[in-house]
This record gives sequence, C-alpha cells and structure tokens, in this order.
Amino acid sequence: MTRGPGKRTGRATRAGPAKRRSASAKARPKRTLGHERLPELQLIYETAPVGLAFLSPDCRYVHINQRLTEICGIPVADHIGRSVRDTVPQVADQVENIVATVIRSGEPIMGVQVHGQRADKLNADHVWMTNWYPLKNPAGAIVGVNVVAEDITERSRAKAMLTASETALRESENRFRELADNISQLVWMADQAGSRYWYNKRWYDYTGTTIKQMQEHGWQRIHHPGHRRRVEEHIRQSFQNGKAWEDTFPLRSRDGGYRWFLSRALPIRNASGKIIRWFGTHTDVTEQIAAEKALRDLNDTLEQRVETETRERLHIWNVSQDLLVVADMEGKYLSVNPAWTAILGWSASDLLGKSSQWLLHPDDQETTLGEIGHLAIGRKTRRFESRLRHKNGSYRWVSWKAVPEQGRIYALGRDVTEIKAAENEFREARRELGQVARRTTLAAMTATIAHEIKQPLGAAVTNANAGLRWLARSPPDLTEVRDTLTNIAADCHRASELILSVRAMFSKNEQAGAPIDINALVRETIGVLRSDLEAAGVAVRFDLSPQLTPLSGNKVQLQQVVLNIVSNAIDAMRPVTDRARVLAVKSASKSDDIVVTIEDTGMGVEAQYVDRVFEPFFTTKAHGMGMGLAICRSIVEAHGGRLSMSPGVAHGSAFHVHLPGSQ
Amino acid sequence: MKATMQDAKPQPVVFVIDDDASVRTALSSLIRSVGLRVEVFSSASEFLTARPTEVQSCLILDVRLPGLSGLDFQRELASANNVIPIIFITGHGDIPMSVKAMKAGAVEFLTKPFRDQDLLDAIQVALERARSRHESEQAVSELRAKFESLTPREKEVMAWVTSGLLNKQVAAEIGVTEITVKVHRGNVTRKMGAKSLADLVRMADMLGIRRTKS
Repeated sequence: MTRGPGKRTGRATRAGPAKRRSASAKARPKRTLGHERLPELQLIYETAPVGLAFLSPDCRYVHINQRLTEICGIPVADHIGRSVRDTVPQVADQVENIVATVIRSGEPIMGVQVHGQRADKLNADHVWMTNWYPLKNPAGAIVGVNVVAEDITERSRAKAMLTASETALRESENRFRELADNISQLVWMADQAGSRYWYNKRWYDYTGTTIKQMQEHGWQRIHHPGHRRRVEEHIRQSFQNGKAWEDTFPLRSRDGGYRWFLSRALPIRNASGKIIRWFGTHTDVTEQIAAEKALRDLNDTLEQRVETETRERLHIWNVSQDLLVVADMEGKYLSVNPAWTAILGWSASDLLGKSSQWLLHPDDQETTLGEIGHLAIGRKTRRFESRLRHKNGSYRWVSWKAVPEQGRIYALGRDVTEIKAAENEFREARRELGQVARRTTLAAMTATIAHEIKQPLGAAVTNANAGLRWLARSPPDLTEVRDTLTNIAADCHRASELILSVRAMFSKNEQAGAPIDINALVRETIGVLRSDLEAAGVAVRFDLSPQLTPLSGNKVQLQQVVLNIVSNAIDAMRPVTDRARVLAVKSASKSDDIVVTIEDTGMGVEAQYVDRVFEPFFTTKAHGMGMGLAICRSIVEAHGGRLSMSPGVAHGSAFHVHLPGSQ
Repeated sequence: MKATMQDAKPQPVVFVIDDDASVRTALSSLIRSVGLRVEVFSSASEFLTARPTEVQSCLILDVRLPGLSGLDFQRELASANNVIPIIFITGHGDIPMSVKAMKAGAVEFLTKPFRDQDLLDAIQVALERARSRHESEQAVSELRAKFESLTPREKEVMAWVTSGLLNKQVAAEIGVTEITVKVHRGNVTRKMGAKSLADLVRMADMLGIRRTKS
C-alpha cells in the first residue's frame, strides 16, 4: 500500500499540477484503494489547510500536499522521491530523528513543535505543530511515516502575546495593590455613583473594619460625630456634580482614638469623559494639625506676650521714677521718659534733639563728655554722677548707668540729690566721729594730764590768795599764813611730780606689756577704721610677713601710731579722683627689726614740707592740729624705733615704722 | 563747832566737796579768811552721811568727783527737794557742762584756777539766795499757820473769793446766803491779817489754794 501510492503519486506529480492532480485523484482510488471516495480524499489531501506528507523510512517524500510544500517553495511534483534533507535541510535533523523513532517504536508521536523558516519568509521563525503516525503494511511492517504539520506560528505568537499581556496585567495589578497597600494613605475606590467597592489594606488596618462592614454603611461609623454630617454632605455633592472632593476631618482608628486626615476623592473618567469610578485617599495629618495648632497657639501666645510686654515696658518707661533716656553716640537726646518732667521740670520738647550740655553743671560738663566718649567706644557706664539743672535753676545730682548699643546710648539716671546730701552729712559725721575716735586716747590723756596738773596749781593759787587775805586781816593771822605757804609748797611739788609721771607715761619701760603681734595689731587697728576707709572708697591691700617675731611695747600707743598714719592716708586720698585709692600695708622683718610700711596713693607731701611733717604743730590740713605725727614719732622712738616718711612708689606717701624686735 | 555757833542767829555755812585734799585745804583757808564758816567733805556720800541741816548754806562742788559726779549730785539733790545753792568748780570744764549746770540752777561755774574774788562773790550770791529762800519759806509757813487757824468753811470761802468770785457767787457755790459769806470773808481777812483783797489773793497764791470754777 505504501509503495503503491508512492509510485503513483510520483507519476502523477510528474504529470503537471492541475491535470495530473485530477487524473491521479481519479486514478488513485481506483487503482490503489479501489475506493469510491478516493478522489474526494485526494482533494482534501491536496487542499487541506494543514501540511501533510508521507515519508519513507529514509525520509524521502512519497506524498506531500500543496500546503506543506509552501515551506520550501518547491512544487509538489519535485518533492517526490527527494529527501527531507534535500528540500528542507534546516529541519532535517529533527525530522530524521522523529521518523527514526516512530519507525523504531511503531508508535505515533504527537504534538512535536518543529521550528524553521519558510523559504519565502526567511527572516521569520515559524513553528509547526506536527503529529507523526507510523504506516504499516498488511503484514504489520512499518513502511513509512505520515506527518501532519500545522503552521501554528501565528497562533503561538498570539498566545504568547496574550500570556504576556495577562502577565503584565497581573503584574500591574500586583504593583498597584502593593502600592495601594503599602502607601501610608488610606485608599478606596467607588463606582460612578459613589458606592465604594474597594479599600486598601491600610484602611482595614487602621479602621479595623471589613469590606462587608464597609458595604453595610460602616463608612459612617468611623466618622467623628462632630464632622460626619458635613463630610457626608460634601462628598455626596461631589459624587453628584462630579467635582473633586477635599476635606479634613478625624477618622476613628480600630482602638477607638481619632486621627486627623486630609481626604481627597477624584473622579476617574473614560475616553469619552464619563465618570467610571472614584478614587479616594485619606492622608494622616494629625501631626501637622497638632504642629499647626501648636504653632498657632505659640503665635497667639507670643503675640499676646509681645503685646503685654510691650505694654508693660511702655508702662515702665512712663511710670519710672528714674530718668530714662535714649541718646545717640554724641549724647544727643532722642527720647526721654516723663520722669524728666517730674524730676527736672523740663518737657520732652525742651530736651530732645540736644545733648545734655546746656543742662549740666559747668563742673560736670567735661567729665560728662569723657563718659560719653567711653560709651562711644563701647564701655558701659556703671557709676557716674552729674548735676543737671532743674527748670527752677537748682541742680539735682543724678547717678547714671548707661549702655551703648548699636549706635545708641541707653541711660538710666537716678535722682540722688537727697541721698547725696544725706551721704555727705553721714560722711561728715563719720569723719568727725573718726577724728574724735582717733583723738580720744590723746584727748583723754590730755584732759587727765590737764586736770591732774590744774588740781595742785589751782590749790596753790587758792592758798596764795587765802594767805594774802589772812595777812590782810587786822591783826594778820600768821598761823594761817604759814599754813597756806606750806600748802603752796606741797601743791607745787605735787604738780612737778605729776609732770614727771606724764613724761614717764611715754617711756617704754614704764608701759611694757605682753608681747605684741604687730600684724594682728595692724589688722585690728585698720579694722577700726574700716568704715572710714569704705566711705572714702579706699581699698586696703595687706602684705604681711608671717614670720615676724612678737615685740614688746605699749599696744595702745602703737595702735595710736597706726591709727594716725592711716587716718592721714585717708585724708590724703580723699581728694583723689583720677586713680585708685589704695592703702598698701606691708610688714617685713629687716635684720632684727620689724618694718611696717603704710603707703597711700594720696596727694603726697610737697617736697619742701617733707622734712617738717614730724614737727609738732606742723600741718598741711585745714583743721589739723599738727600733733599726730609728732606724737607718733615720740611713741615710736620711745619704743627704740624710728618713724620715717618717703614718697610713695607712684603717688602719695609711704610711712615706715621701724621697731626693734624682742630682745 | 556747829553747836557753839548755833546760838541766837544761825551763822551761814559754806560746804565744800572735793576729792583733792589740797584743794579742800586751800578752799577752807580762803573761805575762813573772810570770816565764813566752812565744812569740807571728800565725796558726795560723805556729805549726805553728815546730813547738814543748816538752812543758810551753800555748796562748793567739784564737777569731777569719784563715784557720783558733781552734775549727777546736783540732780540728786534737786530731786530730793534740797534747794541748797551750788557753786561748781572744775579743773577741766567745757561749755556744755557749764550750761547744763547753770540750767539746773547752779549759782556759778568756775574753772580752776579761779580768781579768789570770783569764788567769794559767788559764795555771797549763793548765801543771799539761801537767805531769801529761807525767808520766803518762813513767810509761807507763817501764812500756813494762819490759814490752818481758819474753819473749814472759812478756808472754802477764802479759796473761792481769791479765785475772783463775787460774794453771791460764792454763796451759790457753797449753798449759803450772801450774808453768811460776808461774815466768813470778814473773819478770813482778819485772821489772815490781809490788808486788802489783793493781799489775800497773794497769800492764796503762796499757799497754792486758789480755785478755778469747775
């Protein structure tokens, strides 16, 4: 059977296409199959939309239909007897392999895809789905292989495209879902009527609801009661008129708390502009709102505070009992507070635009200019006093504090006229008191001496007078006269003894006491004068040697010496204004002597007087007695020491008390 | 000495208080040289212990005394109603001290050494002051004796009359007739030895019995 058709087909194909086909179609059923329907089958075979061929075991064409020849473009007739390798070498390996397998196994092989190119479309890969059937002769021997090949190139391409688009769609959807589920917003979609059919995962996570609950009017349940009505109304309007919706309101979380969301919904339209769905988002803005509120509150508070502070500051400016003034760096007044009128009588218009020159006491003008100069180079005024003229012509003392800042001087002046007067009085009283204190010992001593000497002298005088009267009596009472003369002699002796004992008072030997720590003595004595020192603005610097041997002497007298020298130093420094008022007190041992040096930065002693300061009744002070230093020198000399003076290092004077150490 | 001198007419006496013996001796001699009695004491307490009773006397006092000072002693005497005139002497007086002493009634304030005549003059002034005070005190005591001789009603009438009331006013005041007042008034004038109403008023002043209408 296989051979028969093969031969015949071979002949027929060689006879020319159309005629040969119809001839062989007629002949073949008759001759080979003896079947009525052979021409029909032949026709089907020739015109089948699938490629058909019958291959001999050595892969030569026995039959091939028109369709299959389209692969190589060689006519049907030219195929017969030619090998597959000869006509379609590109698939030859695969075909030979399959044919061999089918022949060997005797089983058909179905669904083998064969890839190759058509001769007319060499640049495009084609795929054929092939089925291979073994053809057996009546004896059961395999005589060839029938192959059915369907070109599925288009179909597989379409399928591949479909698969790809499906994958893309799936991926797109996944991406969307991933995005929708992972963005921080709550997202929903609704149909064109506004009925929500999808929420993202965040929505469910946040609200703790299910799609079922949401579809059963659960939407409203998560709204804050205070906002629900408005929100519903607005979104309903948007759904109706197709306009984008935006609102900010709280939504309840699964744990019952509310957070604020900025919510938006946009209509999604198709190509023709019809709304096909709504896409909505809720963005958590709780923090922003809180921050905004905090900021707003802060602003309100700040504004309020600024307002309050401004008011308060203005109030301070207005009610201040001190003079407040803002001036430029030349000292020209730019602004003054009402205290100026209250204290000095001048109105603001009298004062503004001018410097204080016209107001100042003539003696204060220069120092004021100096102070403004200091301010101009950035120094603050901590303590400065000047006299300003009141409108009534009197002067008021004003104590200033001022700060330069950005080309302006801000100054505060306090009327210290009364304080200053009181201070002066106080200082004067203090000074007098100090002088009294300083002289107390001397004065007491003097008074005692005077009294003691006057007693016998007075008695002598009285006795003499009485004697004269007894003599004048008639007769003279000579007994009484003798008595009075005896008494006079006794009185005079007594006076003389007193004078001797006074001299002895200054003698060291008579007064020797306990050993004296000279450092302690110096400190104690200066301590007594502390208030005087403070009142005069004098700083005291001690430089006391700790290795001093105690000395023996009269403590009270030595205190008098220190007291006197320090008091003089204070007096000498009181007029000093251009330098620090410093009292330097030093003690040191020099060979066996102790030297106490008391140095001031005062006015000093003019060279012509240096030699005279220790003379009794010599003084450079208006109210001095000129006894202090004379007595001091006597006391020091009575202690076997020496008191000297030298000019101070830079200013003033230095007094040196040399005292011999203990023997 | 006190006893012998205290005869018919009491002799004035000068007391001296000074802690200085030589001063005491000298003062004593001086005062005696002009014929005055003198008694000396070394301190105020010694003087007080002696309690001298002489009415015509004066005191020479040193300002500076041991214990009580002269000024303190002056104050103490005043508060004890002892009006003895005081002459201060001092070795070292100052103006405030002397002003204080003079204000408190001192006769003189002398600074040693003083002129003897100044002291003796001061003593004369002081003794004269003591004498006149003594006399006025005597007059008052005589007056008081006369006043005490009045009946209670007469005393009452005297008090009202010397206060400037008319007889009928006095009558209304004490609840008797004007005639009765006249009688009482006559008795008062007589018993008191008053020469006139003005004299009677002066007496009432000295006795301190003038009344103001309540």
